[in-house]
Amino acid sequence: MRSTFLGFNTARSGLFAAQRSLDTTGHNIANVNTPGYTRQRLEQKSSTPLALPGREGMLGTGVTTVTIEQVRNEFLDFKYRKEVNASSEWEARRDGLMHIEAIMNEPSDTGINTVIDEFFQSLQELNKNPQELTNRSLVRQRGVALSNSLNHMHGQMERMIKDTNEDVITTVRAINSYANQIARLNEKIFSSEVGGSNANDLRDQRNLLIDELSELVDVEVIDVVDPNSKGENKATKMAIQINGQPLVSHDKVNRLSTEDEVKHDHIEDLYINKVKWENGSGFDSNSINGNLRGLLDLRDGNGKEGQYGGLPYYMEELDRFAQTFAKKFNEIHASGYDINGGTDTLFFTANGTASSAMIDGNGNIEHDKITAKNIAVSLDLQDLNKFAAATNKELLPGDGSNILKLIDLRQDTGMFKEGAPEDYIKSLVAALGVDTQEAIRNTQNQEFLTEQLDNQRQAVSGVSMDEELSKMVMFQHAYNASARMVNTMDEMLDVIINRLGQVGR
Amino acid sequence: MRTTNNMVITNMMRNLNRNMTRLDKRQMQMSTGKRIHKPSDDPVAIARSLKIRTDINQLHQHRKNIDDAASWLETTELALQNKGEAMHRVRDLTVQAANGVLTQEETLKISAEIKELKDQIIGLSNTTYAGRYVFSGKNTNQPLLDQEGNYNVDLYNANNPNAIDHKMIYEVGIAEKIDVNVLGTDFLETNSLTLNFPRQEGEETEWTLHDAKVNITMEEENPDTYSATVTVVNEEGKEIVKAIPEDGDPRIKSDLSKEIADTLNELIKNDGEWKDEEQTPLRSTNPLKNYNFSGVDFKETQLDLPGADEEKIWRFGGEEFKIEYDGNNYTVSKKTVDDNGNDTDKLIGSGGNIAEIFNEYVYGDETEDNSGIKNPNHPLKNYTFDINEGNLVATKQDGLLVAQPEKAGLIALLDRIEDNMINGKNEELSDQLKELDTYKNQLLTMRSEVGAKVNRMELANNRISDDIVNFRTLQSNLEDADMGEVIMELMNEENVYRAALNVGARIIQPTILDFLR
Repeated sequence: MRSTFLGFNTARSGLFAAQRSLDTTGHNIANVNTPGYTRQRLEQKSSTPLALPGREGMLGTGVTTVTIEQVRNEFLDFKYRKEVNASSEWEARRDGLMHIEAIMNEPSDTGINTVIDEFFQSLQELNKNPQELTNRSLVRQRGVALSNSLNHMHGQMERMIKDTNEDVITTVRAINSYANQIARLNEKIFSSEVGGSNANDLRDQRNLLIDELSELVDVEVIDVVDPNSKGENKATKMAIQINGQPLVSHDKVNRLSTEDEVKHDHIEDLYINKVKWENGSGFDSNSINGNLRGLLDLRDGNGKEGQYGGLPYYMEELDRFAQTFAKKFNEIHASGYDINGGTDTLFFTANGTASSAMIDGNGNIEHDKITAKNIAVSLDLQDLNKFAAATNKELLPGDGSNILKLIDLRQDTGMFKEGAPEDYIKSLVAALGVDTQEAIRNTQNQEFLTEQLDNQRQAVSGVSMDEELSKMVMFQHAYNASARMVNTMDEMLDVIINRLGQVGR
Repeated sequence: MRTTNNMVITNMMRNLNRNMTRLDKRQMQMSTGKRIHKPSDDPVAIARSLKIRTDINQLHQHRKNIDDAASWLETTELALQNKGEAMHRVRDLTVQAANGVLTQEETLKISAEIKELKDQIIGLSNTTYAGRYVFSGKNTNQPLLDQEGNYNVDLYNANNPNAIDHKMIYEVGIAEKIDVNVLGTDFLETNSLTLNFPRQEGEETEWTLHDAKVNITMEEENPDTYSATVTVVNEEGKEIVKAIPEDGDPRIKSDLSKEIADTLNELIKNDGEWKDEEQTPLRSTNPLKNYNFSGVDFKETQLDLPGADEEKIWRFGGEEFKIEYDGNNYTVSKKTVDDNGNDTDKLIGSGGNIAEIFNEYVYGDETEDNSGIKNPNHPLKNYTFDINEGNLVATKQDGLLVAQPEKAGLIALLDRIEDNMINGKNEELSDQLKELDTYKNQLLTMRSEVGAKVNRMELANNRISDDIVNFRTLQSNLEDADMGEVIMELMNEENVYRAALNVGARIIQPTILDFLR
């Protein structure tokens, strides 16, 4: 026998369920533009039915709400994080290389190629009138221009290394900050879920933070089920690892540090901040990916032994150019005679010292002291007469045959393994172009992939207004219908209570 | 797949952004006219374009050099032309005077004109281009001749007997060089002024200068020793022959060339203390009086030897030797390029006497150049090695006898012509006419050579102009944007952008909200 008021209960459960669904819909609509928000859905099922006696079957007793759950595909999260990680790594490289392109400034009328060109042109003019002081001064000025532009390029790259170092420090700080926030959220999520419910919105916040962290460095997210938790959905404790080392283990954070100032591996007199774990264990920058890796490659990679060709690579190349060119030029210059018959004068020296300062104890010329940073025209050349134009002392001052030898250097394809000086610059620029092009293309591809995956995620988790509004109408109707049910029950009871048994009254 | 309103909006924005980027790229190409701006736009094209830029700049420089060379050559050509005219006039006048039909007074007038023409030739020999003396070799800051016609500049330095170093070389193309200057001696002297020593056993070389003759023979029995005879003819037509050396022992080059020079100077300069009393001295007007003779000063190169347990590197004769000394013995090795192109040290020899090691190496069969190929004409073969006061000394074995004229030959000839006219010796003028003709011919040769060079410069200039146009075209093909195409593409991109905006505006507006009551 059914209870008199059973119908009320059934209708009321319908009312409540519709109400709760409307609340969820309202929540979804309210968060339509919240970053990282995952749409929620009220899980409901029919309540336990009442077994009717006499094998009459089971009588439904209404609806029960189970849980409010997120519509989410975690595999897509995993894929998205992987691609966004690669994307931001290439982005860091692309930005760096494009900056180097701007520093190299080729092709232009002011790049190093033009300066070399003008230097040789001044030699050609001097050859036509070797004793003319204005021509000699032109050669010196063009020599100064050549060494200055090497100094300048080197200096700009050095500054860029310092800037990149700052970026590394900032990135590490950001990683630490994300780790802290995640740890705090972990704590909250755990305490909310330990009772068995889903902390949907807190999880959304955490997922967003992990997405953002993934751009900086590749992380592995591990969920460990807490054996002590109750309920159907076991509460989990979460750990985030970088390269197998924990960054976050539930509510504890193992911070990265950039406190350590060390000498740059490849560039002299330059200090950079080394990334390591605050607890002292080593941090292998070659095993990570992401924005941080891109920055570290740019800052530290010299293109040798499998390293990426970052700023140190281009600086070392410039050094090689400066040193080799200065050496070859000096050797010929030193073999010639100046106007006063003097010889053994160097044209380029380190820091612009006098030639004598470049000679070591054994009488050898220390050309390896010359770098792109310090190459300068020798102090001796302050006296323009010191330019060694002649190969023959007897033919002074009109002999310019040493200048011809210097001019021939321009065609000296044996100077570098890449060829003559201008071939060298050409191949350096071309290599830079290829690297940059690769970085641009890869960044584009990665961005495209990331967009695709984000679209897929949105397709699953995003809030659709049309859908929510339709559902709103649907739930409203359900609510109205349940309310009508109450009315009907009311009328039924009215009949029984107020109108039954009044025959003849 | 579910599509949400937000997805539609984000996708639309991304696409609009991409369209905008493409539009911007075209816009950039439009406004700069260049297809590529950074190396990453097209690395291959940039590398080629850098090369072409270099080439074009070089071509411009070469064109400048050609212009300068051409101006220099034209100045030279003009001077030579004027000189030719002056000499033509000299010849006419000399022919007139040589006829013998003119009175003494008329001949004197002619001689006065000859003097003027001589001064003109001296002036032309000191022609300048932009303040530089064009005929003075590399001593461009000094005039070639003084007022008397004596050489002011020594183009016959004994250390540079071939005077080849006096050539001024301009680069007028990649690895294409031209010597622009004509040396004054090229047209002021017709006689060969240097004598080389014979190079093989039993060989003889002969050299004639006016009435003097020198023969040098390399001895058959004893190579590298020489003997010579010197013959001079005096005014009476008698000749005096001297054998050098007087004691009959053949000499090495340096000694012999000095002895020959001493003998010639004594015979010619010394006003006539002929050792043979039957001979009479040369008259002061004899053209030989104009010359000083000298043997070549041999060049020595020396190296401080390393001390015990030291080593030294000696770069010499195009080679690089490493000399080690252990206190008793020297070990000499040479830098050689092996088959794989690597530098290796090759042992030359070792022993207590380092000069011997070098002499054996250089005069043995083993002399190799630094790529390991045996070279019988190796430059080192010109040297002998000795030890002198603890230094290793290399002496160059290249013998030369040099005659240095005091007065330019042509001017000396004009002096004699003038002299003969004044003294009425018309009969000698016909001989001097012949001499004058050799000078004239030589001048003509020089003129045609200079003219040919001017021509060559013109041709080179034209070629470079063509090259510049060609390279420009190449550069333009590589770098420049095809405007028609860019404009088309720009329009296209613009249309796409407009369409995207239009459609976007329509699809993002409606939601179901618009249709709910």
